[in-house]
Amino acid sequence: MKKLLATAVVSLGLAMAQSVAEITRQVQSNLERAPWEATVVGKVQLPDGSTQEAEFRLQVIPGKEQLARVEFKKPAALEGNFVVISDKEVWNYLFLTNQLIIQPRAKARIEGLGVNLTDLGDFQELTERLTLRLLGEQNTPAGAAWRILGSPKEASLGFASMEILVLKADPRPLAITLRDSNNKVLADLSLNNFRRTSLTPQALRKRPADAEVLRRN
Amino acid sequence: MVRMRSHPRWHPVLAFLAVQLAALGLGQSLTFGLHGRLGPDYLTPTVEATLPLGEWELNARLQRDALGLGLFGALEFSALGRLRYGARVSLGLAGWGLQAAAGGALGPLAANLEAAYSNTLRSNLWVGDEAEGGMKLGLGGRYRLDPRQTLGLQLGLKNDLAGIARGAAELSYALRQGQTYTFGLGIDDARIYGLLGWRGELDEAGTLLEATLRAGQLGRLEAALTTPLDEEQINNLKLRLTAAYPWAVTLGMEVYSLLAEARYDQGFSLWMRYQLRFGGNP
Repeated sequence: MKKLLATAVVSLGLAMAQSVAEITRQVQSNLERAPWEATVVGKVQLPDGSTQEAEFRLQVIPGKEQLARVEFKKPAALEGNFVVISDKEVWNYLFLTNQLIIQPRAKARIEGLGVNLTDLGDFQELTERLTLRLLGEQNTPAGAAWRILGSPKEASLGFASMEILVLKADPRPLAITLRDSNNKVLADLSLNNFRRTSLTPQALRKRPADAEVLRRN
Repeated sequence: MVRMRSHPRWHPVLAFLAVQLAALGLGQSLTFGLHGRLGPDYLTPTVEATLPLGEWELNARLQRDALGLGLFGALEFSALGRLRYGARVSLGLAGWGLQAAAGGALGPLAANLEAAYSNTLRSNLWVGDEAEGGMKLGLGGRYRLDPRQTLGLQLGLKNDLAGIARGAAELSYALRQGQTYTFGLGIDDARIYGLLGWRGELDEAGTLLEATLRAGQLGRLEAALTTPLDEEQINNLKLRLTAAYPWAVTLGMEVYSLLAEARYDQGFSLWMRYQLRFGGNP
């Protein structure tokens, strides 16, 4: 009887694991179908421990030459700043100094808001660095969603757990919550106004013509 | 007529430096130029090079009879901001100079601090620098009140080679409503002036005009027009005009790798430069 129970638990575990892998595959495949954009809103914890409202527009061109642009609306101090992420480079535009800082992707840290922004545009990369577990399902205003819990495989990611809500009807992330080891919320972000749209690399790389371009190695 | 003066001892040095940097591909940029001035006549080649050294950037400036070496570093905070700091020492037959600067932006605040001293006119050490010597201190800051409004403050103090001290202060307010309108008030060596500025895009291609007028007991107009030459914004055409009273006029142009600057300031000068960039264009 014990053997049977153990087999059942292992089988259930395997089924759940496969299910998470399947969900991840569906999300990645869905997000790679065509260029898309979404408004990300929520709260993030700043490096000084204070909590700030955050709102930014995320635009993604998937594919071989994947490109993502994050345009800040809130916090107000960052309005006008944007980050462009490609396979090779990260561009940071600072409105206040009208400077565009270009760094190799491998060296650039897209941080400061409690969440690595590059992760939001590349679900596959995000999930590869986490051990995922399906917690169950949840009803949301957008429809039924899977609740997935991810634990980092390495401590350097800066959070202890990530909970992701994935819309079942159109597999894509609806919300992401990051917590530290004390279960304190580091970032709580929702992806709203998701829509597929025609985006060009030129549009995502658009910057003020007179911006000072600084290349850092 | 510009009198050509040959300085054969520099030529092998310039050529060696240029060939080494170009061949190794180490310089982030290498700029060759020729600067000529009438009355007093002066002609010099110029070379500027930037070379990454780990987290630092070595910056070299070489012209006839003067060499400047600078070391700059920066801390990057991604979308939150950055901090840049560094110093330069210049040494030439005419004298020497030191400069130190730090500046950057973090969240809603941008600030910069500069200190310089030279025992000769700084333009004798580098043709692109101001024709002033002695001590100079500058402090500037900008603070975003909200996404649309920014306050600016510039403070300056100079003590020139004759020992005459001058102070300057300028307060500005910028309002962004699609275009940016700037209003301000300043004082420079007891001369009071008002400031009006406008910055905005002129077309969908992204052509951008920025104009600033300082008028009152001193007058200066600065205008810059930048237009992208391709959709990727890899190449831009930049035109600059600065006109001041007492009469001084500068016209500048940057297109592809060519930089040209014509100036009248108690004498005509022309500076033509060609820039080689390494590590790709943005």
